[in-house]
Amino acid sequence: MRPLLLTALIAGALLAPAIDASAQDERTGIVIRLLEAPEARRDDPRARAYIVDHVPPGTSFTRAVEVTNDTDEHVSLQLYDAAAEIRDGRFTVLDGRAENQLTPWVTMSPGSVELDPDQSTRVSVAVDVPKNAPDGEFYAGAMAERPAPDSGQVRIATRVGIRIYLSVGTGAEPVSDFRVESLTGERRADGRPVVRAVVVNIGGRALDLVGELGLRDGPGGATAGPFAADVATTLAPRGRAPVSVLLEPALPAGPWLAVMTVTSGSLQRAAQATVSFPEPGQVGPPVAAQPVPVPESAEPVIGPDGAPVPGPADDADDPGGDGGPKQANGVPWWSLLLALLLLVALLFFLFFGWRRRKQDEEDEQQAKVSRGAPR
Amino acid sequence: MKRIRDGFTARLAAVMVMAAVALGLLQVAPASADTTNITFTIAPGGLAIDNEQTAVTLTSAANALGTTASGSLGNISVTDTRNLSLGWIASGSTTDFTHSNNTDKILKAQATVTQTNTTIEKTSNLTFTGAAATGVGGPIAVGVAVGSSSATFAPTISVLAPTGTVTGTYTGVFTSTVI
Repeated sequence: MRPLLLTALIAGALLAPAIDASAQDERTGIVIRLLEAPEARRDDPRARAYIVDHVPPGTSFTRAVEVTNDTDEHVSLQLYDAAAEIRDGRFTVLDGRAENQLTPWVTMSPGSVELDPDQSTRVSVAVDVPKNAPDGEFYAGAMAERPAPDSGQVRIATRVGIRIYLSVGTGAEPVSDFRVESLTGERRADGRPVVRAVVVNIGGRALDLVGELGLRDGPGGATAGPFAADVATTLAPRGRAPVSVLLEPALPAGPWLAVMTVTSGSLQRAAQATVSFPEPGQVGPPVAAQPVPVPESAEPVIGPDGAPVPGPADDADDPGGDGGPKQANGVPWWSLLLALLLLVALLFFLFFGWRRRKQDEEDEQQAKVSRGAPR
Repeated sequence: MKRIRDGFTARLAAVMVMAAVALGLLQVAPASADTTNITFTIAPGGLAIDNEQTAVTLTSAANALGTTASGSLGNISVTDTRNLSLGWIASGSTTDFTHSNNTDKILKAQATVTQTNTTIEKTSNLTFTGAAATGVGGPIAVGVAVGSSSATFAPTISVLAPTGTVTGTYTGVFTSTVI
C-alpha cells in the first residue's frame, strides 16, 4: 500500500463518519446529487459528479438528479439550466437563467418543487440535441435555486448545480489530452515558495485539472512532498492555464528536480524540470518540462467508495485496458476493422462468384453452339 | 459442371456466414445513443450550499455619494460529500440595485464581493482560496480536497454609489452559487 494512498484512505475513513455525524447536528442547506452516469464512463470520476457526454446530433438522453432540503425550513426551489463558460481557468455559471447554445436543448423537470425539511425529490435533466446541432463542446449548469426573500436591502439567494460538459459531433469522441509545458519557481512576498506549471489542453474536451508536486534531488539530496495544487483548474480545448502548488517558507531555495503530476478524471500526465525558488516577490524563469512516467505516489483520485480509481498514465482513456485507441463510446477499433475486412472479403467472393457463373454460362453457350454447328 | 456449382454453393455459404459475422459485429458496436442511455447508479454523496442569512443591510461610514456601503453577506457553507477530488467553485453575483422609486439604479458593476483566504471553519483536507468578484459575477472561493470536505466562509459586499446617484434606499439581490 503506498503511503499517500494509505493516508488518503485513513483520512477518508476518519472524515466520512465525522461529516455524517456533523450532518446530524449541522444542516448543509440545499443539496444536489447526480444519480446516474453512462456505463461507458464508469471509470471516469468526472462522470460521477458532472453530466459529461459525447453524442451525435439528434441524440436525446436523460440524467436523474436528486435535490434535498437539508434545512430546518420548508423551501420552494427553482430548477433550471443556466449557461456556463470556462473563464480564466474556472467553470463559471453565468448570472440568473443565462442562455447559450446548449440551454435550449436542456430541460429540467419539474421546474420547481416544494420541499419540507429532510425531504428529497428526483429531478429529470433531459437533453435533446437537435439534428442540425453544430459540432463542438458546450457548457451549462443544472441548477437548484432557493430564491431570495421578498424583503430586505440586499436579499440573498443561493443555488447549487451540476456541471454539464456536452460534446456534440458525429464519429469518435474528441480525444482528451494535455501536456505540462513548463515549470516555474517563484517566491511570494510572504516568503512562501510556489511551483507554477503551465498546462496546455491539446485534446478536444475540457479538462478539470488537479495537480500534485514532488521535489527531489534538492540540497544534500533532500526530497519533499507530495504537495497538492491549491486550486482546481478547468481548461477549455486548446486552452492554457497555470496549476500552482504553494509550499512552506522553510523549504530551501534549491535547485530541486520538481515532478508535477496533473490529473483530469482518469487521465494523468507527469513532467519534470529543475527549478529554484528566488528571493521573496520574485519569479524565476520558466523551465521547459520533460514528460516522465507518473510517479507511484500520485494517487489523487479517490472513488466514491474510498477506493482509488485506476488511472494509468498511458492508458487513461482506455478503461478496457487493451492498450489501443477507442472508437467513440467504447467500441474497440479492431472490431470495426474486422467487420470492414469481412465486408471486403464478401464483395471479393461475390465478384468472383459472379464471374465464375458468367464464365460457366459462356462455356455452356459455346458448347451448345459447338454441338449445333455443322461438322 | 456439378463440381463447379458445388464449389460455388460452398463459397456462397461461407460468404453468408462471414456476412452474418460482419453484421453481428456491427450490431455489437453500440450506437452512441445506446451507450449514452445505458447508465449505472452513482454512490450517495452530493454538493450543498447554505447561507445562514437571507438578507443583509449595508452600512456606510460617510453615507454620501461617491463612497461605498458595505457589509457581511453572512456565513456561507459549502459541503461536498461526493468523495471525489474534483473540487468546487463558489461564485457571487448581484442584480442592479433599484431605488425605492423603481426608476433609478446603481448598476451591479458598482458592487464588489470579496472573500479572503480565511474561513470561519473548514475540514483539514480542504485547500481554500478566496477571490473577489464584481456584481457582474465571478468566483469568490475555490475549494479543493481529496475526498469529502466542507467550508464555512463569510464574504463581504461593498457597493459604490457614484457621484450623481439619486439619494434614497436601494435594494438588490445577491446570489451565491456553488458548482
